[in-house]
Amino acid sequence: MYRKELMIVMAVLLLAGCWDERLYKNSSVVTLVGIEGYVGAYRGYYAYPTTAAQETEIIEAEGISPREVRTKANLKVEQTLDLSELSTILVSDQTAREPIYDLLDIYFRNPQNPISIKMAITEGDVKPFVDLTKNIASSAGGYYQRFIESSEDNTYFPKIDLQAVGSMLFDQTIDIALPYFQLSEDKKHAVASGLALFSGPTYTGTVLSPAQSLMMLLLMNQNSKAARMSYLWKNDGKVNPITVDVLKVKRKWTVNEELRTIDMAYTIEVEVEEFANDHLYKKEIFQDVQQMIEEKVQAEFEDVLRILQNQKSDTLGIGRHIRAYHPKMFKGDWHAEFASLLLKPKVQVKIIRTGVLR
Amino acid sequence: MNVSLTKAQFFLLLFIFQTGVVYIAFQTPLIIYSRNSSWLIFIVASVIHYGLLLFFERYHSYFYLNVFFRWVYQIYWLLLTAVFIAYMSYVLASWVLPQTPEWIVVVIIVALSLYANLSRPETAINIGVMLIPIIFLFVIFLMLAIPDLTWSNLFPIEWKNTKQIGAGLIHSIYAYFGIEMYLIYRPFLQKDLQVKGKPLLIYQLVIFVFYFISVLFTQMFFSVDEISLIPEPIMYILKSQEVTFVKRLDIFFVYIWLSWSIVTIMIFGLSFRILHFIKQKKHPTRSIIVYHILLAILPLFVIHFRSIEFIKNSLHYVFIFFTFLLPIVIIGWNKWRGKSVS
Repeated sequence: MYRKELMIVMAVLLLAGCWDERLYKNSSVVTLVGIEGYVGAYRGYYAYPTTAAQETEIIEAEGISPREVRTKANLKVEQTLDLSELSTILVSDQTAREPIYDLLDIYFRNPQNPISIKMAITEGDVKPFVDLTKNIASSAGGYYQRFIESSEDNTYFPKIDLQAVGSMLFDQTIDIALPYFQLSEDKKHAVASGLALFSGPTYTGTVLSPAQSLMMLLLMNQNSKAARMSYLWKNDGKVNPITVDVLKVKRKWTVNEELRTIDMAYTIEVEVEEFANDHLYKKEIFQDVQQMIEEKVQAEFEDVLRILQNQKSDTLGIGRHIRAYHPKMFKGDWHAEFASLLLKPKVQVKIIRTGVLR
Repeated sequence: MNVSLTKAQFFLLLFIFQTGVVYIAFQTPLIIYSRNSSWLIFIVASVIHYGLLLFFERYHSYFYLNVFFRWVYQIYWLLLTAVFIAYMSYVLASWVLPQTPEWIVVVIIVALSLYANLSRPETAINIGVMLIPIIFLFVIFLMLAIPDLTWSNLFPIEWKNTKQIGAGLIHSIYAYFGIEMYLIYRPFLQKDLQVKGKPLLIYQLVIFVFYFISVLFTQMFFSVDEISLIPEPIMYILKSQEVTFVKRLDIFFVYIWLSWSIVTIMIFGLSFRILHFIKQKKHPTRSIIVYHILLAILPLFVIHFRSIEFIKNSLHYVFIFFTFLLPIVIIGWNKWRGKSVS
């Protein structure tokens, strides 16, 4: 008796799919977006692969908001832009000086836009960085995504995606640090130049060098597959390079609420990857090398912490720790509070492996 | 109505009914009001819920509904179902079907409920079985978000802020709404079966763990200030996960949630039938069809942002009345009069 009704329901179900059918063959599938400008005058770049020429097409448009830029860009393409395969967003450093959530709202609001994508800041205009991908046959956004992920594996960039960026922008107790790209001298390549520091929603204008970025990530206890540090070891008038890879970081923060100090104890276990001098089995050499690395890392930690405090950029999430475990010490204006804390790092380096040589 | 439930059927019915529709969204109001203490307040709310279950189990025989209260509950369920269908349609339009006319979605949901309710009662009772494995998928895929969780979001616990605790407890009711169904379906349990003691505790623990995981994940995934912008946090967490076999994990789970919620709507229909046909009536099919025609029409008036927001911001008061206060008053009144369900 109900078979007919069931058939009607099934038919209606199939019908419902028609309105929301979206086929890639009917869209220009954008993989890289670049944006620069400010509220009222944005300029956007959209890179998508063309099947005919096997290269990347770049569309440029202007508008009062990021969404209007995209709407206007649609006027210049034969098929509507589709951002569901987006891999990377590039933002110019000048634009990031304004609250960057204004740029990102459209990505969080529309469920079709992916949020597990990468984001980076460019030195100067975005255009030359987008143009670099013109001759890439594969995805333009994929190029920057791979670039960023590779640097993440080498502990130069933190492992964060757009969702994490959005989440931290709403959290007053932690700040973001985004990958920063420069152009090479011959303007033919993008170069990963460190991390752009943010204080709240805006870029501070300060960039940590790759070495400082690595130190910052060690302070965050976020060493990835490789975290290499190279130093020169001086002994008997000879200079020997030594490179170590961080295997493990243990950290313990002890907060003194009255003195407003944080003792930041770090134990870093490393493996020697390069040391042409050899003879690490000799106790005096081993201890001298270990102590030299410890002192260098200690100095670099202090240097990075000084920069972070000067820029009021709590990328380490000290605010999260304080709010959670020492709420009496937590103040509303956390950035000012963070800058006034006394942070005392204490590093202990342990060489626990020396490769297959002694 | 001649229905006989086993323990498994009874608890499955309750579980699907209580968790459907609200599972993806109840975390937001709870965390907005309870902030970092949400998880602890939810534990307290769960203890209260368990206490209420024990109370209902002890005095369920006094939950006798006269004609007036039968109509009160029937109208309440009709309106609540209409609101839920409107919400389901709104979520679908926001997440996956922005171009599909909303009335089509409403008609499909109502048609499925109509089919189930024109069939034998066992159809609506047993259909939840097919949901068990896919509901577990929800939890399993939520685990992908573990590396993104911030444990410090669970602290500090502000246990002295009574206003915050009160608001948190009230908003926890979204998770445990509909527990009055325990009283409706309890008389249909096979006579020789016992649910008090271990079975009831196991049910409470299962539903608590299922909800508690979602509360913890939501609280640790989003910052406290961010959560007020995220109406369906569980969907958002799933959307932010990257897997190799599907581009958008959220779409997959929106449809799982939809089927789960449709079964909830079917159980609402079944509950309506149970109260409506408590005494033999003429034209039972016609009554069920009229109920479903109303269900297809009423949601269309509220499927827009302002109405959905208004309902979400006020529904907990309605739940408090119909889920907690009214059953307790009815039980107390009947116990005093010595009137019980035969």
